Amino acid sequence: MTETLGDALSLVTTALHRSRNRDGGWGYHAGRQSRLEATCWAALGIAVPLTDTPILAWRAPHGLLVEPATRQTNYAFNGLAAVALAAEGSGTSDDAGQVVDGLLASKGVRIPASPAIRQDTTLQGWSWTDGTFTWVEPTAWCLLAVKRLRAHTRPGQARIAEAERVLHDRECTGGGWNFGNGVVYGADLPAHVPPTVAGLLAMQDRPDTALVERAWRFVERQAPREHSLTALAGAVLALGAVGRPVASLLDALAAQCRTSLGLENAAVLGMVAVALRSRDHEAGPRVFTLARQP
Amino acid sequence: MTPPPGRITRREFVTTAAALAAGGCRPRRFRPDDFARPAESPVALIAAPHYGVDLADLITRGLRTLDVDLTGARVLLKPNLVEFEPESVINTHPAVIGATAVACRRLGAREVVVAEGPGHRRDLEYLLASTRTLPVLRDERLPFVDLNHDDVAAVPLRTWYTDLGTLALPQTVLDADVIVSLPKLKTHHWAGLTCAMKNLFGVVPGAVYGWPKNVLHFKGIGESILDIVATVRPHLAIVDGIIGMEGDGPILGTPRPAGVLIMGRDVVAVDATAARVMALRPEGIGYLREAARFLGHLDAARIPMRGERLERFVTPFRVLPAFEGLRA
Repeated sequence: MTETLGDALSLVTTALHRSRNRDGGWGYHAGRQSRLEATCWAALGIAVPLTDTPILAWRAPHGLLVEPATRQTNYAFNGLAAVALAAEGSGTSDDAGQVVDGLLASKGVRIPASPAIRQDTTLQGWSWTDGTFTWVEPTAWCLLAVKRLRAHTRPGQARIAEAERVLHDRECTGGGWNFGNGVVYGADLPAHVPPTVAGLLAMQDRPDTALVERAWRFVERQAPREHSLTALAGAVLALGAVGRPVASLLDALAAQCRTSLGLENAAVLGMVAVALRSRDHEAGPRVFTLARQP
Repeated sequence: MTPPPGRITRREFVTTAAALAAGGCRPRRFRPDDFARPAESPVALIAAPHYGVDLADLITRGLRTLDVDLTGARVLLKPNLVEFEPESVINTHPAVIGATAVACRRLGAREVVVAEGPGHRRDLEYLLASTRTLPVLRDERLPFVDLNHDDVAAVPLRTWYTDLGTLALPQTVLDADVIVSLPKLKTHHWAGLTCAMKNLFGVVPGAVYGWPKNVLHFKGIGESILDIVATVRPHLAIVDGIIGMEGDGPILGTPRPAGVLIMGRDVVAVDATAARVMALRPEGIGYLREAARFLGHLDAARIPMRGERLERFVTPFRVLPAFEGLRA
């Protein structure tokens, strides 16, 4: 790791160590309630086992992790948690597997077709919360988790196939994904970097598809323009996962860290730390790596 | 976002409240005793031809016409920050945010914080920087709270238009003495109008409910607006109508200058006035019509104008075909 990247990593990990709660978890901001997403990213960022955090105590009977602070099941963050728990030294395969089994038991709801939107509303991936529609980010994180941990099972294979159809269906014009719909009332809505990062991580095992190529081209073009830690760190992880060069993005990320730690959101800083450490193939992107599909 | 699922179209949505009202067996949605209303709800209309004028002075004067006193108050400003497109006018202009903060301090506020939880963009660092809100926050030394990622508490809803019962709400919102809704004047492709009331969707935390905050669409946009506004009870609204958005709002519409700041204590009256500025009939918007039963005033006779006359600012905003029926 270069001195520049090392300095940036030191800044970020110091902030993460400092903001850790007494219960071993992280809130999104220092001194705030421990939350699932923030804890997963921060723990990955400083290579703390998730077994040393409170998240496994949040397991509900269905196997999913439910924050006591919100008492709502967030499927996207459970997808992330499953992947993080499956990381070497972070949890056990059983810890992760129980979460994925909970994910396999849940689906976004179908809604009637609407002339306002282009998408196929019958496809069922994952929603953010119970009883709502399928969206790109929860579908991508849950798809990544299922591919990592249950790809060999029949239920896993069925959900993978449908979730991949969701991602094909929701692609924005020109490539990539946004938070919601690619087209509303015939008008194109732009892709965003963070949802595209999630989509790329989930589809990295199919790097030769046009869908993935359009997505990485979008991230390569857009992420450097956004000058945010989220966009730059996410781009490093996603482009690294599909074998694209990330050296210039890493330099930009390190420079951005020296300017500002953004809004000091622990989830973002954890992602930044994972991205910066990826240069040396420490605990970084291997957490999110899938084997290529033929 | 998706349209509200299945049971409701945009046109149906606009007329939902009227249809409900016509039915004889409507369930009880609110306890009237919980919502005392003044006999009248003054609204101030202040001319502001562009963003380069002394907005802090204009807003201070406008709030003074409403006898607003913020002595010792912890004030939360809730702008509308949604998405960024270089040539568009999607968001509350940063000059209005900064000027409102200055005005609040002049009126005695002990603390002013800016807070928002965008329902589209999750990357607030990008959104604050690209919209040039960040320099204003720095210049005015305004703390910013990301409501999508704030601590939350489960709060029982004060009305029952949805069946949610409780909603997780950000602690920063719950701790504020005064909440100021600071929206952009825009048309909305599902709701007809988005202004001071709809702007409160942004207090619902994304880290709990997701992006978009889809549970609110499933429960009904109008119904959710009513439950949120009735529970959060914003104390003031200041609408950035200097350049609004017409057509396919709230994101894909086009800029439409109206040259006005609209402010008041009653968010229903403010939204009704905003609709009239856009040459739309507020009575045609279901959630406004319903809100006028208990939350505030819709009837122009109960909304005395302070500052300038309404007629000076009436600017017909283009609407999507489904909302042509809203035209005054």
